[in-house]
Amino acid sequence: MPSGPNPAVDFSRAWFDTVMALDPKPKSIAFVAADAEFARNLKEGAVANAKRIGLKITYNKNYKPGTPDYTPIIRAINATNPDLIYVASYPNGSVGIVRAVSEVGTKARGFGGGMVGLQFSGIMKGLGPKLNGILNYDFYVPEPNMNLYPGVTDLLARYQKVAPSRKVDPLGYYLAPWSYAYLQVLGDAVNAVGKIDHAAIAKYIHATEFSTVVGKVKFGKNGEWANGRTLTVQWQNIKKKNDLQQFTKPGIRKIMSPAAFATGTVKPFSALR
Amino acid sequence: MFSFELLINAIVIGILLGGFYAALSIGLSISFGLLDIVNIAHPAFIILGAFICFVFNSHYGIDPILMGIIFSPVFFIFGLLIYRIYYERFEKTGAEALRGLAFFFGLMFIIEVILIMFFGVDFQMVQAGYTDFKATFGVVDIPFRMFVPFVFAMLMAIGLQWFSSRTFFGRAMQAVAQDSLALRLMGIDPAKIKTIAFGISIATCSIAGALLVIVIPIEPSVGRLYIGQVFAIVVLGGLGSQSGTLIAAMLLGLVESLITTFFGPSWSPAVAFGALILVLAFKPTGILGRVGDTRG
Repeated sequence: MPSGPNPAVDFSRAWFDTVMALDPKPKSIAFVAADAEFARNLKEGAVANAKRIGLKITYNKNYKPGTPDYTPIIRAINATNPDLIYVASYPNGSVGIVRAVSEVGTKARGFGGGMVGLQFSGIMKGLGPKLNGILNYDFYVPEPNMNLYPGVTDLLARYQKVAPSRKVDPLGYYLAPWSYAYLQVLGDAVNAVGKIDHAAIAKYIHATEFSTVVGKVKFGKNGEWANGRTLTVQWQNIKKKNDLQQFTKPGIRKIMSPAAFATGTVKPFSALR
Repeated sequence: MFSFELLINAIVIGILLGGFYAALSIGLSISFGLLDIVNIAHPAFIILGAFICFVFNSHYGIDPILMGIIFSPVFFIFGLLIYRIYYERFEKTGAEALRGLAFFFGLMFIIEVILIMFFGVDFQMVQAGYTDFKATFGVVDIPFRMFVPFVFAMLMAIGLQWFSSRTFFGRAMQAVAQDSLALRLMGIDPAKIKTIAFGISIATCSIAGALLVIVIPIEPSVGRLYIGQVFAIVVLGGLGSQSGTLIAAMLLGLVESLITTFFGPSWSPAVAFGALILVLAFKPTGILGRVGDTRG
């Protein structure tokens, strides 16, 4: 994943850069995460970012995967009155938390963070306008600035043509470009080395900058991406429920960060609900 | 951070959550509780039911609960067939303990793989008119996406309780669990009664699947998340007791909701399963289990 040299902390860095642009500046934050490895790591990294910025932590808890209803969690968070809510969740939890916050409401001005699953077509289609205002990580969205990536539009057009028959995500924005890029990196390395020699291939990958459908890729000494490229996007202007096509158009998931790709400015969560 | 508003909402959500857990567990209280069949594939059947509801909902807009009810006879027949295979291959030969368990494990994986082949591994959701609404009474919110499954779970539990206590087949089901030899001496074939009982337990999966897909998004293996919970509820309620299963589900829902609200969600499984251990320590037969039943 394009998290950066220190993945746990770098993954949420762009999210914090974005929410700190809210006016007035947020002062407090609540954290909630699925009790599983990725989500916990993500939350710990986000906690480190919050401490670095000087945000007061009002709530910091984990929940078990498979929790069917999240309204008690949202109510408990609201009782601590945070300015921001950072969620690190898996698809089931992400849907449950979005539904719960839609029902219970919140005064928090920034909501989202590391919610896995909101990028999936079936979930986007099902939640529709409930996603408005959520500020979340992403890897690729159909915004004009993302065309900086060479060949990605053509790749996605080819992918979307065959996706329904292969029973995979019909839009493929979230993972298809990155999966393709991984194989481009591996393919280029194998071709350059000329044989299947794991040590030589690894050495080549460490030393080389690759050109892929997600742009230039370079790895650092620890094997992570030399520079992070996780996006922070905010869902805006979703009008209809059960309409997947609206998510293929620009202006729905506006990019807030990194600045090179930005297509919008962050708005308070409640202003978009 | 204690407040009346938090408390009352935690209790209401706990009860609704309990209804949801009851819907998932009630069929297992028949197969595992009454018939001693460790149907580890029970949640997989629920997911199968959920996907059927999803297909009809996404293509034709049909309400998932209506589809769950319509398909329950199909699931009933499916259950009859599965039990006959289980009976002929394992139970009849006394090999049900380990091989039978492996059979249901296999069945679980087959269902999951078939669902993956047809639907892929993406999460799917249904749309129903009531899922986005909530009723507000003062400070209390009742989300319909939880309330509607709760109502149908109650109807299913009450219906099954009535069936098992007031009808011939229901009483025969209880008799199989208590003394199948006595039943045989009275001229009734226990295998026939067990076949029907298992069919009913699988039929409940169709409706439970409909209720599940209203509450959470589904993917083929999501049922695994609930295996421990449904077995714990059946044991806590008392093997074979539908009323006990309902009470245990309510208890679990309430404990989870209250602990989540006031102490944090990570404590809720520990407290819920701690309560299970405590109850079983003082009443090994479960809440409404029969005295002398040592299976718990």
